[in-house]
Amino acid sequence: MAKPLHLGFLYAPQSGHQTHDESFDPLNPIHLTSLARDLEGAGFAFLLVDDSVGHAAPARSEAFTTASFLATRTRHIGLIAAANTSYVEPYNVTRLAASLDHVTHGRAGWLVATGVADPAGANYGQAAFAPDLHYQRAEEILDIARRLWDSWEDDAFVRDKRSGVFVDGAKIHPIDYIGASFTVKGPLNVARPPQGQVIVAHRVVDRRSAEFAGRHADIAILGAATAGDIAALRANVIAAASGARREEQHVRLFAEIVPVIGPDHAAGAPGATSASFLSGTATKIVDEIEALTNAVTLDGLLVAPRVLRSGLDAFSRDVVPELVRRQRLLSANGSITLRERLNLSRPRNIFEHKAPQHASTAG
Amino acid sequence: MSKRELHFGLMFWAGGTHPSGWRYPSSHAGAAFDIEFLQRVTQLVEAAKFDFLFLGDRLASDPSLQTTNPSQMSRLEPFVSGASLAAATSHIGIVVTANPTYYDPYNLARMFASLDHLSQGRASWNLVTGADEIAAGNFSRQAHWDTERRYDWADEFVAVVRGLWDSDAITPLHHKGRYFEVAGPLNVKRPPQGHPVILHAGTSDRSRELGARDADVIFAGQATIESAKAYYADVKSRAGKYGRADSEIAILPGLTPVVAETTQQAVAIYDHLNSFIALEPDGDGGEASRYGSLGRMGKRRNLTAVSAAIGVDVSGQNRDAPVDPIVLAEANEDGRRLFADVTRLTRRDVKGPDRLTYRDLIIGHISTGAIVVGDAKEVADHIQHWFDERAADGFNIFPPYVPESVEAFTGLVVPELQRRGLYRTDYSGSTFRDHLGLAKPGPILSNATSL
Ligand SMILES: Cc1cc2nc3c(=O)[nH]c(=O)nc-3n(C[C@H](O)[C@H](O)[C@H](O)COP(=O)(O)O)c2cc1C
Repeated sequence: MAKPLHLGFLYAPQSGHQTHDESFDPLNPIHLTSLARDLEGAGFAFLLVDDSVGHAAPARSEAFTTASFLATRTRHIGLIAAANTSYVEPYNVTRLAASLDHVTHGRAGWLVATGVADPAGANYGQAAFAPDLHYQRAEEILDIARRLWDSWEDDAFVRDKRSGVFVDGAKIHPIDYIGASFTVKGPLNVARPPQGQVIVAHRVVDRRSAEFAGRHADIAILGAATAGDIAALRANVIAAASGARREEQHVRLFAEIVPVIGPDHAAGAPGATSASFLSGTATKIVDEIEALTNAVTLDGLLVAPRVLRSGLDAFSRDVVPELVRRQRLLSANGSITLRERLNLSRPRNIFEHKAPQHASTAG
Repeated sequence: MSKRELHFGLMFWAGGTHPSGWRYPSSHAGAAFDIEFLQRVTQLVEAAKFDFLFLGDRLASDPSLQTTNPSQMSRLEPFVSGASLAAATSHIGIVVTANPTYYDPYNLARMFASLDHLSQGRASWNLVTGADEIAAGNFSRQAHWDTERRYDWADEFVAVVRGLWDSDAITPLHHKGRYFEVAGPLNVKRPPQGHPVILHAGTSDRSRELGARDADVIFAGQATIESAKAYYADVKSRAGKYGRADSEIAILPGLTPVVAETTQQAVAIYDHLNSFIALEPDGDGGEASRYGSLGRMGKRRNLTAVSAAIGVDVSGQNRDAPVDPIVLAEANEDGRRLFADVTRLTRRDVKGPDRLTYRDLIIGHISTGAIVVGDAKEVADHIQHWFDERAADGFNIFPPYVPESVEAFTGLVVPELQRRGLYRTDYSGSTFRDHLGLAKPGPILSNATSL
């Protein structure tokens, strides 16, 4: 029998296949707050605040500012913000993610997007470049981010009022990164994130994105229309993970679903193939979820209703209780950080010195 | 014209702006990453009707800052803390420092537009061109740009950002300039304030021009009333050529208030704070690495440096001993000014019952910015004097230790200024522009025709 699932929520009004009711204003902080709190109440593990710098239509607020605004207005839900590595400076985005992790007390994530999925060169004075170049930049930025997050060891702060020692300089490390696109000296000017490393998510829709997710992501979001296609993407992610000497259980695999709740015959025809459309009554949708998760081993679902908020309200009212009844929903279970909630261990700091060895034991 | 009123911001280095503020007994040494604490302090100044909370920023870190600017070594990224602070407040302006040298106009315009929506009209951009030469190394650059290059870039940058705030589907930006090519439109709706409030801080001629043209508020760093008056008059005199009234620009110098119920208590706190400063042995009187603010070269914390400044050799003296009156008698003009300043702050003199020490001279010599020590009336007098003399339209308050110095200022000085009719007793609006008495600007692009 398939295991219980985490639920994530995709917040992406006015892009892809999501729209919103007239009564929901994505720029209204009260509406945003109640959305996040309702998701938390319904048991969602995270809210993914998606973003776009390429779509011209005004839709919503920038993802990191939005997630930061929600940080202390929520208590348990993970907050994952999207940022596109093709159009940011690594030092800036690394700081944003580290800082979001601090203000959420370890509930932060970063959805790494690239200019492949969201081309926006015209807003950045950039000529369009090849997919490989976008991914090369993403790889570099993530490499830099991981080093910078570790550039302050967990116990670098001494803060001893009596001696006046504020930090232990030996536990703060320049990274001296030199790569094809970037040179970053470091250290970061933010304490190590509570999670050690911020949770990294990536959307998987093809071989290239599967490769990236397998190598780097804690959360891979598989976007395909059928169980067979989702399984194929999953296999690519796992292959890339093992190629990078990562263990399969270090990547959490989520499938993106678009629930369309209503009487069977009213189901809308799916327009996109980057998500699995499940339509019908709540019972039928949960049956389909079970069929999907029996066919493909998954850790969770990214729920992406077509209409905010009504699509979420219907899902929370009708589908969630049915998942709970069938014991298919994972609860927070006392966890505090998003990492703990996803049962991912806190990474060791790459700069951490091994305990000084005595000559006798070393010999 | 409406009556001139004071404006206040809180310069928020969470560990305190005094280099040893974090060591003060009631201070929270880990404040920089404690968002709930930052929210409580922000609520404290919001209850006192402050115009804004000011989040300074730097784009580099250096462990050597720990004796001089520990609060500036590391902190939360200011958009993140600013958005979290907006979530816990309803009126106060939120100032986020962002350096265009290391940002991109499309991203920055989006972030400020977003913060302005989330805060319902309280966002502000502190536009600085960067104090840290070492920041270049974190942004794939060979070197810190010189003043001309930084300001050429900043001038075009701010025009692009304003254009993006005003852009829409009918009038996207299509900017093609010397440094930037930006198609637009911005995909965040026009901010509630039209344009978020723009702050600027700098000293050079280019900075003054940028301020006169683009800033709603200027954060100034002059330590004396004479230099502050000259700066104030100079910047305001430049406003006219950009078609602006000088009342459209508020000039707010930094001010460190050390205030308590009595003068004696205030001086005791000032001495207590300074007692934590680690002094250096005499011998080298040259420039030290970084004392004071903003990464400028600092002064040695010893008597050799004092000797060079005052023109009398006092190196090797017992630092706790009272200063011989001969030293003052023989001191040069800078030296006499230093003595007067130390006496003003500590109430100690070279004669009388309470004598000033050599240590006091070292502390006085390394101090930066304007400081006032006293009871509520004395601090309010100081503020009123600068305000009446047009050295300031208000102040960016530097809290030397947090939260107690903030509580002391809001609890003691603010009510005194309100009694004097110099400061608001309530907000008259809910946006930062409202607090400054500034109207929402119309779009600068010619999309009026499309309406
Ligand atoms: C009062 C004051 C506050 C400043 N605050 C900051 C700051 O928070 N971050 C920063 O990078 N630079 C800050 N600056 C430095 C300016 O960005 C500027 O780079 C520096 O003053 C040198 O430029 P200038 O020659 O135009 O003055 C500040 C400057 C002044 C005078």
